[in-house]
Amino acid sequence: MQTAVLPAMLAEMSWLTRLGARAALPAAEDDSPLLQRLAQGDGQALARLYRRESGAVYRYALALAGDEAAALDAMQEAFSALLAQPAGFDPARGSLGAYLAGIARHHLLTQWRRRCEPLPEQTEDDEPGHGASPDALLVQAQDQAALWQAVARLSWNQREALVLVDLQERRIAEAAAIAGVSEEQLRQRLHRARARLAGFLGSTR
Amino acid sequence: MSTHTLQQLLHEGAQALAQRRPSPEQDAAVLRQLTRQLRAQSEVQLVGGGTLAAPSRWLAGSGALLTLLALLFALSLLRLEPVKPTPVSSGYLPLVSPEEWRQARAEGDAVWIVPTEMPRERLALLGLPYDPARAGDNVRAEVMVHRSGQVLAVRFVQ
Repeated sequence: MQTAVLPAMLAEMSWLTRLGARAALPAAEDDSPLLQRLAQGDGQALARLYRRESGAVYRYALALAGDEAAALDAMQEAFSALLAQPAGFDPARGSLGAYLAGIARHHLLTQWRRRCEPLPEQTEDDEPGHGASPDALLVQAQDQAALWQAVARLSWNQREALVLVDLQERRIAEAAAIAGVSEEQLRQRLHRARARLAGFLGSTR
Repeated sequence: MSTHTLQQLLHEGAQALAQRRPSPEQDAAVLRQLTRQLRAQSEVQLVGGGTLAAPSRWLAGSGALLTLLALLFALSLLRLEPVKPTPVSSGYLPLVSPEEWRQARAEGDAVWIVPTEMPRERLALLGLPYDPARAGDNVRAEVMVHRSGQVLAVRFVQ
């Protein structure tokens, strides 16, 4: 009985940790020595940074684009931009991972617009938000494919908020920094995204 | 009918996503490409005699910037008070080589801070992310100019 309940409890704790009051976080790793070595052309510093940051950037791009090739391209572009201008990263404005994700995001948006595909746009942002907590939204049992199809139907803004917070489990402040919006805006997008997602997945609430 | 909470479903999705990453072959190919870029950049610095530490597209951008700013500098020279060089941590992006930047700071020479505006797309030339949809908009900037007329650094103001 206890073993069946434990995963749900852990999941709940994870959500509360991200959305509620947080305990003090350990100090972020100081990237400046590595970046300094990178600026001096040190290949080992590059390899180390790549190993540490590439996975999260790739997953963020993959979840947004839904396409492995596009995700790989965006990830490479992010590191390429960092190499071209290491001074562009300002640790006072966020983590290196968030900075790289921001460049990947910019690249994806540029590619999207270049293909002249209409961006699933922001009209839904005018809709009233739904305050329902995700643990209160019941959906029909679905496989993962159905979940990702439903995520792909969200507007860009809502998809991004959902990916950053619910699927990548980033903190609200970091997610807002990547998306370039205030924390309040990001929360609103997240609420709308969850409500729409529940609708797509056959909400029973 | 079987139901989940959305939270459970998303948690499973997060776990599945956490397993995804490029294949080892893809990682190796990307890292090779980036290493080549890093090496090429180092070679450009060496060829340039260490005077300019940036890729060529950046140089083209700063060249155009210099032309624009020379005029601004001349106009504002008479009314601006000289100030001490500002440390790079204040948000200025150096537009000169690290050696020149260090020298300007070490000598404690007077510099002028010149407020200006430039197209938002100029951010890309400096390697900064920008929104292409707003490329035509202007962004406010402050340029640090040495009294010799050399543009030392630029800072973008929100």
